[in-house]
Amino acid sequence: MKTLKDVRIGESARVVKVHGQGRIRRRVMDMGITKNVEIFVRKAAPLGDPIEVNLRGYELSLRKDDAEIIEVSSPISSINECHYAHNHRCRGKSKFW
Amino acid sequence: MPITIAVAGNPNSGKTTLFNALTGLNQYVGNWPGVTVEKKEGVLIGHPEVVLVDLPGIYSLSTNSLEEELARDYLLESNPDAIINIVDGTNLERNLYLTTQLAELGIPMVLAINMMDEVEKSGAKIDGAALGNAFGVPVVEISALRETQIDELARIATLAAQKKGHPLPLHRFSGGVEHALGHIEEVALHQQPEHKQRWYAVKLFERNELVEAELGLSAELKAHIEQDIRQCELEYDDDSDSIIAAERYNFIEDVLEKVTVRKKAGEMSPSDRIDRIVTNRWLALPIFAVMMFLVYYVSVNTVGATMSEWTNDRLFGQIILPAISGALADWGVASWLQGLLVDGILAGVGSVLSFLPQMVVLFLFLGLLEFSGYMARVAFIMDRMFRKFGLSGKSFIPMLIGSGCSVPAIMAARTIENEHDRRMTIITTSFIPCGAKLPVIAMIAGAFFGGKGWVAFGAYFLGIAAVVISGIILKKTPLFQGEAAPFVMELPAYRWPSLKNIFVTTWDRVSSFVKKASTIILLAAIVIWFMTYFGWVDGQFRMLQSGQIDQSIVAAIGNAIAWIFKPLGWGEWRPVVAALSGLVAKETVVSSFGIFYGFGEVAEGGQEIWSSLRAAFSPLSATSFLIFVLLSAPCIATISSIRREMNSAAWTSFAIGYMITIGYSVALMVYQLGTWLQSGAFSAWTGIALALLGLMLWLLFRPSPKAVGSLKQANAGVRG
Repeated sequence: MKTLKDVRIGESARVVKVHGQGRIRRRVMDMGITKNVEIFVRKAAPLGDPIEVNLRGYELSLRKDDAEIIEVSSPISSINECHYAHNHRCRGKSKFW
Repeated sequence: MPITIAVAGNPNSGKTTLFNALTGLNQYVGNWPGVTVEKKEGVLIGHPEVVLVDLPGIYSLSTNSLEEELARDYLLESNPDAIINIVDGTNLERNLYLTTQLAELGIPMVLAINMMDEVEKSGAKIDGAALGNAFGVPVVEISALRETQIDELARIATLAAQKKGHPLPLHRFSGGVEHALGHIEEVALHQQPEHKQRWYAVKLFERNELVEAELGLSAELKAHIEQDIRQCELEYDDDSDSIIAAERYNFIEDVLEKVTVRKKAGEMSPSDRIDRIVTNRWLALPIFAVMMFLVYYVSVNTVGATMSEWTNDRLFGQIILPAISGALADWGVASWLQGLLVDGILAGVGSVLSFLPQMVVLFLFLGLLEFSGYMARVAFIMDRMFRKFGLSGKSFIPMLIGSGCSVPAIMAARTIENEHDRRMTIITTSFIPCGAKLPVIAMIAGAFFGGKGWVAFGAYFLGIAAVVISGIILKKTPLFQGEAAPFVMELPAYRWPSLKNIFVTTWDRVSSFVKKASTIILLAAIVIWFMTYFGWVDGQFRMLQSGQIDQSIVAAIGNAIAWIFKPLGWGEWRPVVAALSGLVAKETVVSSFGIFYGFGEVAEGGQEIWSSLRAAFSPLSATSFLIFVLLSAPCIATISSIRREMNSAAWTSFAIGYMITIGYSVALMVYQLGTWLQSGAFSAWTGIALALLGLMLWLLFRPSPKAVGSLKQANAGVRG
């Protein structure tokens, strides 16, 4: 299962499902991480954790451990990109498919 | 008839700015009952009959956090006449999520779209009227910062409140979900008031146990509803709670598609550009260090310290006190009354006031950091380092300020949202040696260790170690267990902070400190004055002459409890009373020794008494004394601000008790183990010290009960 934690900095992903339970799951959904939303991973904090992502037009930070409950797939737009433009950056990404 | 209007909205939506604009300084700042979350109420400017309640900033009405719980309970139980829902126009999608929930409460609502000036500047467009139609609520486009359309908002909100209706929510979800909700309403909710049905139906669909219990549904009915939910979950291939969250966002996306023209994508906003530098992988820490140095340098070192000293030494010491004592003497006031007024009450007032300049400067800074958006980045940058100790990244600031004075430091812990993190910060902050502890350190270092710098360094190291160790130990205790509040935090756009906001917030915080803390400090100052200046001389209870402190009540207490400190190596009344006198203010420890050894006034580092100290202490027992003074209960002003910020007597007692325990245990271990190493003599106390050390190590390194528990839970709770 690919999760938000596995998405590299500077890349986007599409949410498939939010796993986990309790407050963290609720909170993640309340903040707009719901099925099919596209998330862009902007950066990691200087010490490597937490990460900063962009979704629904705003910036959100969350810990990598918590990012693990968010199942994602590569977004449709970038699959198309991959399909049409065979640049080397896409190969790494396509192994998840 | 009085009207109550609740102001609700996301954090960073400009809610505080709006509230200040609507009420001016007509605010009452308190706490929500039993918790440390600020509760603000105010009267609408020009309308004394309209009371505004500022709800905590929240993203949702689920019960993720204390703030959400408070807001939800308030809205459901106190039945305000209307809600002003403020949303950030530059970030509508997420802000409107809360709106979809508020609209289901059956309370008249007005939508205030804030930051319209920024929206227009960015080139985006919002059709406010159409947005309002989608939710069935009136809309006012405002700028809280520039105070545009504020009067219009107040007028419309008051009108809505006077109508006293129960509006029904207009937003609808997709077919399958609506089908299930409709069915739930039909079988379980038809006897409920119409405007509550939707709210209940959604909650039942989410399998909310609280609501199930509140409605007292029969098992049969629950099973019936469960069938509907299951069917829907199958259809949507998702869990019911995610379905609802996703449906809310889908509805919002659809509406926004129709009513907004977004700014061009891909263009970087000024905020994005700032953030690229400020939280850059390499630059973030240096920039953070510079910012923190500035805050520290200005609020603790220069302005704060200078002004505090001026208030304390000049204003009080040289102007007010002499003037008043002179006047009292001229009037021939009884000497005990003079003493009470000057040494008791005025000294107490002075000690409160001397914190004020530092506190004002610090809160101005904190306001600047909070309202500009940098505070969230502080948490982002420092989270990794601090969370291991049960602290928040934001705990850095209280710790830093604590090296100046613990009182403002503990108040600075307010910026930490998570209650566990905040309590932990409050408990551990005063381990960091504050400015008033420096003279004690200088005294011991000078008398026993040739004034070497490493003693001071060691004191700071001890303080930091105490914070870290306490964090790890306490985090594993049941007090700090329970589900951790998630660290899923918005990084708000950088904004120019409004000066008015900063000043109002600073005013609120400082004035509430003066009101609440000063009464405790004053009372304590009077009690301590009485115990220091009264005692039995020749079998007669009377006020003491100067130099008779060894006959005071304090000395009597010191004598009575001196045996407790025997295992620490200084079980004699003088050091015990000196340590106790540190409750007034830590630097008093030095002057107490001065009095005990017959020197009256002593220099700051107590040079005059070094030889007397050397006669009374060994280097080892002096170290143990210093450790106890540094770690155990802080001064009374700090204790009263702990009380104020914890908003609970139990937590305050726990915090103080914990500090005393730690101070005592560490001093005991150092003295007893040190004695053992020096002399090789193993006594019962050596055994106890070793046992304490073992206990501490066990508390430190035992596996966290939570980690074990939650792993089990997670394994059991994995859903298909």
